[in-house]
Parts: sequence; structure tokens; C-alpha cells
Amino acid sequence: MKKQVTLPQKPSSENKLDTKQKKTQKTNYHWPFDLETKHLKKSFGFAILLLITVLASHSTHAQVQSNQGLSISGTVTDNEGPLLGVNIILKGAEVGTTTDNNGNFTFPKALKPNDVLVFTYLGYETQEITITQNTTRLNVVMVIDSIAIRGALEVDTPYKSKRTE
Amino acid sequence: MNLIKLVFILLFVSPSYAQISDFKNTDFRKADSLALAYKGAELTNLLLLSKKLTTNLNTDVEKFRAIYMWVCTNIENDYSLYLKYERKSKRYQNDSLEFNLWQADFKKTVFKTLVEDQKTICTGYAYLVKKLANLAGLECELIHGYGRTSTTDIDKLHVPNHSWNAVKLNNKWYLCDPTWASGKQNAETFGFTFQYNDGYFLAEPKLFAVNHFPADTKWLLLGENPPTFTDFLNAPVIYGKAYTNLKQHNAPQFLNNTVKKHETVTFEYELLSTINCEAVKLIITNGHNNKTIRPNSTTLTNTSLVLEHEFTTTGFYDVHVLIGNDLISTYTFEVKG
Repeated sequence: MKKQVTLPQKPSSENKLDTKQKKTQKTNYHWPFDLETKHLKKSFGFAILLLITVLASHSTHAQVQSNQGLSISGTVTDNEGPLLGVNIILKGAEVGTTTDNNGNFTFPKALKPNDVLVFTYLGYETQEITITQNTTRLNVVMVIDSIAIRGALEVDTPYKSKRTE
Repeated sequence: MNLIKLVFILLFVSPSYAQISDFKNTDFRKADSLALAYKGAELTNLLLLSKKLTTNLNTDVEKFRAIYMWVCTNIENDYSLYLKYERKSKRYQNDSLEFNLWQADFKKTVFKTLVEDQKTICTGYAYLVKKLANLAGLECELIHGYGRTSTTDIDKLHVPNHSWNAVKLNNKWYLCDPTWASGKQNAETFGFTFQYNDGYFLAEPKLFAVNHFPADTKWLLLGENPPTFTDFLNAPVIYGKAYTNLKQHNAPQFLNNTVKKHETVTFEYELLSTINCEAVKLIITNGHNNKTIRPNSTTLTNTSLVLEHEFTTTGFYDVHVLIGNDLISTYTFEVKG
């Protein structure tokens, strides 16, 4: 962002452009609004150069962030201890991992702030955890779904009343 | 303006029950083929399974269908687990503290069996449907309550014994029973056979209430004058095939009936589709003799079916109603002189 502001104010730092401009010195020269074709071309060229610089700086910036993304690891437990096989998935993507024997995991992809990790395990409530700038280790405690197990079977044996038995 | 108001009132006030016919223009073949494509998929990664089953489907009802169908056609009923459940729930029926302690432990066994063997008992089915549907962004609830089959001893129906699902589609709640839809337990060998019954998918709430009574009555989805628990206990026995043939069961209202000799007994049903009247039969048994007869009269008006029968001898009878080979319902009649 800095480049965008400083460059137009100091055209002299761009040597080539500067020298060319000197050769065709004009009294009513008001950069960058000079509409004379020759000058327009130059201003346009300069604008392109500026755009490229800005874009390039942007993409480098983005690259740096993903290279330095957050590497997340952690442990998943329930009230009795570590849980093996808990599924951890990045919300909106298919990348994920599962916990080992000790309930430990390391997420295989570097994450960004506001990424959401979804923890699922059959019999437990699903948990979603949002990554922040400071997240490095996650200690997740899974809560058992509060349901009671019941069972009634489907049968097609005809009903028999006690009276007709 | 008045017309618009009227249409608005009719649309939102008329008591239309949530049922499968709301989706009669939906083709479920794509959803069903997705369920088939992932047959045998593991339960170790629920989010991924839910995603695979639903991402290529456009409507919520199709997404739910794929999940429901997958569960019904992949999860077996575990009879030994069921026996364990029955034994323990009987033992602890008067001791809720012990019951809860046992449940905490039993729950782990149930979920372990579900993941490792893809076998469960009904809460496992309904739980899995809810879990997968929630992961696909659908509103789905696990409903606990009382389920009644031909072998249920209603004198012992003191605590909820069954679980099923309610799902919200297009802002309306619908009912379904994945456990009973998945298949049947053989009464002799105790082996389980997959035999999908489509009748339990987005079932008509009024028919559903004949053999399902939720612990929280709002899940009857029946608005005003819902049936009471006593109505449910007194209701006739209906079978899985009732759900594939009937839209509504209207009469007789009770399982046990007392009539006079030569009095005409009327059976009334609303069918899902039209049938051949000759397919309707009654099996009447007094415990010693069975006889299969045609009702005295069978009247079909569009999809309203009315049967009439007259008992000519006193006694106590079980009466089974059949459409073709499908056993629909059972009633008892005490015929007095």
C-alpha cells in the first residue's frame, strides 16, 4: 500500500520515465491528467507498471501468510480420558485427520484465523472450534450426547389376543 | 385484496398435515442411488459421509432422503444388544438412578457396536439419521417415545421403548421411523433381514400416531385434539404394510371391541392408491379355527375404503385385515348374544 502512495509523488525515482518526460517538457503539464496522446501513453504505461507492482506486492503478501499459516495440534478427551479416532475436519474442505491412541492430533494443513475445525465422534456432541491468530494447541473435551438408548423391534407376526390363545 | 387474503388464510390455516405427498413431484432416484453408491461406507468419518451423500443434491428433502436411505439400508438391527437392553431395562425399571448409571455404560457399547459392526438398536438408527442430517445442515430431531407392535405387551409399557426422527423440510416438520423401515427380525432365528419399507418415510402423522406416541406430545404434529396416551394404548394393532397401503386408519378406533350378534361392524380406511376390492380379505380366528373370508361388503370411493362385516355366532375373535398378501391391522371382537 505504501508504494501506491509514494510512487506517483516521486516520479523522479523512476529514472526512465523521468528522463523521457524532461525531453518533451511542457508548460501546462499536469500529471497524470495530460490528455495529449503521447503523454497519455506514458501515463498509461506508468499506471500499468504501478498496477503490476501493487499486484505483485499483494500476492507476495498472501504467499507469506499461507507459508506462515498456523500449524495446529492438540488433544481430544472426554470426561474419562483421551479419545481415539475422533474426526477433525476443516469446515468447507475435505482435509482432515483423526486422533491417535493418546487422543493427539496434528492438523495436516496450515490454518488461517477464522478457519473452523469440526470435531465429530459418534455418540458425542459435534464441536466447532474457530481458529484465532493465537491458536497453537487445542485441548478439546467432547461431551457425550445426552440420549437414552431404547429399542423396539419391527415384527410382522400377527397379533394374538390372550383370549384366543 | 380480499381474494388474496382469503388465499393466504386458506394456505396457512387449513390443517394440512406434513407428509410424503407434499413431495409427490420429487424424484428420489438420484438420492437413492447415492445411498446405494456409498453402501458399506465406514462410520468413522461422519462429516465426510454426510457430505458425500448430500453435496450433489439440490433440495433438502433429497438430501434427507439420501441420508435416511443410507442408514436404513446399511445398519442392521442387533438382536443380542436388544435382548441385553430389554433385560436391563426391566431390571432397572423402578430404579432410575441405577437405570441412568447402566445407560451411561450401555451407551458406549451401543456406539462401539454401531461404528465397528454397523449394528444397533432403534436409538442408534434415529441418532445416526439425526447426526448425519445435522452435519448436512438439516434440522432433524431424535424423538423418544412409545412404539407399539403386535408383540408389545401394553400392560408393561411404562417407560419409552422406541426412538424415531422428526425432520424440518421447507419449514414444516415431518416424521419417519428408520428402525422399522430398515427390515425385520425373524421371530424364530432372530436373524435380521434388510427389507426397506418406504411407508415410514415422511409418514402421515395421524397414521404414525396409531403405533407411535412421543414422550413430548408436540411431536405428534397433530395440532388440535391430539390423541391421548390412553387412545394410543387402546388403538388397534397396525403393521408395517399398513404404511405402504394406508394414508389413514379411521375405524375401528380400538383394538378391543364388543358387539352384538348380527350387528354390522364397519372398517374405514383412506388408501394411498386405488386397489382391487377383491384383494381385501379378513382372517377371523377364535383360537381354534382360522377362516379367511371376504367382508360382507367392500366399497371403494376414490381412495376411501369401507368394509362391513357381521358376526353370526357369539364368541371371542381376532380379526386381521389383509389387502392382497399385506397384513394391515388387527382388532378383537367379543360377540355377545
